[in-house]
Amino acid sequence: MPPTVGVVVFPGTNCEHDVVHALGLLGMHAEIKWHGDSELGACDAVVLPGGFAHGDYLRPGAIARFSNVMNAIIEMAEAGKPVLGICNGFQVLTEAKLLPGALQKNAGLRFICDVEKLEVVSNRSAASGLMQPGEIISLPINHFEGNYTCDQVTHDSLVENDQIVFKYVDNPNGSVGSIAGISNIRGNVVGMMPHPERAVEEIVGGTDGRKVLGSFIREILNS
Amino acid sequence: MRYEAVVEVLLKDGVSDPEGMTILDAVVSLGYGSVERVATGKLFRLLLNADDENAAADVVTQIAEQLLSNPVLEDFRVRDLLASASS
Repeated sequence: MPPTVGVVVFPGTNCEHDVVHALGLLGMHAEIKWHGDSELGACDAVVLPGGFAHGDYLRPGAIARFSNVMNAIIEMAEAGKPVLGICNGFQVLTEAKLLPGALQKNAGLRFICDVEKLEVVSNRSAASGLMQPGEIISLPINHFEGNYTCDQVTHDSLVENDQIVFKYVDNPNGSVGSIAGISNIRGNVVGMMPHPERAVEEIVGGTDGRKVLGSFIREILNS
Repeated sequence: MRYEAVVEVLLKDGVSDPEGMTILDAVVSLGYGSVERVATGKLFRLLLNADDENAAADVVTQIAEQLLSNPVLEDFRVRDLLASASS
């Protein structure tokens, strides 16, 4: 059986097919998984794609945290399997406490849909191993609540433990420390607001997403 | 006994509140220059059955901690916990 990535769909998720397509372009088999199932089956990694899980009711990710599938995702995270949350998926991972901090409304209160330059800060994570610290990549962002927020103690520990994966070059949303993506201490769980799956073909304006998803795939093949 | 509780959730001091700042601009534009700050939040009204007021307060507090608020961003306050006749 070839390695398989589970792509989890909550009611309101809308980027799952883009993620399956992008991973497929890079040679990785991916399957869509329903949030109501309590098992992920034979998955070697999991992606929580973007969208508006459960309509973003209460707070983005707040309700998704209670879906049946979350226990299986937490088990995978604890087992060291690669877990990637993109945009709304990042919000779900913070609400589930798999990643520290929270995402709140953008400073300026605008929904931002744009291409942003990102600096790779750590290449220790499951989604950045093919890049060099200091490397600049461009990825699309598409969010209203992407303003990464945490207290000073948490930010200090993120820096100390090399958990900041990506920073915005021109912080568009007010994020603490210009943070665009972080990992857990171990590095296998990564959350990021930018959308790598939307930057895998020249025809859509860029291919830097291949570096992120390619890193994720390499991690799967190595783990 | 049936109780009604209102839980107030507000952004913590120090967490930026762009929605509150935007509303403040509108309040000032409306002519109320004496207003210095607007904070946004949410109110939840819960109707529940419990043995007594303390038990009701415990349950509501647990729900507010675990679900209604995100401790990274928000503080909550259980207010107006009352025996309720309404349905």
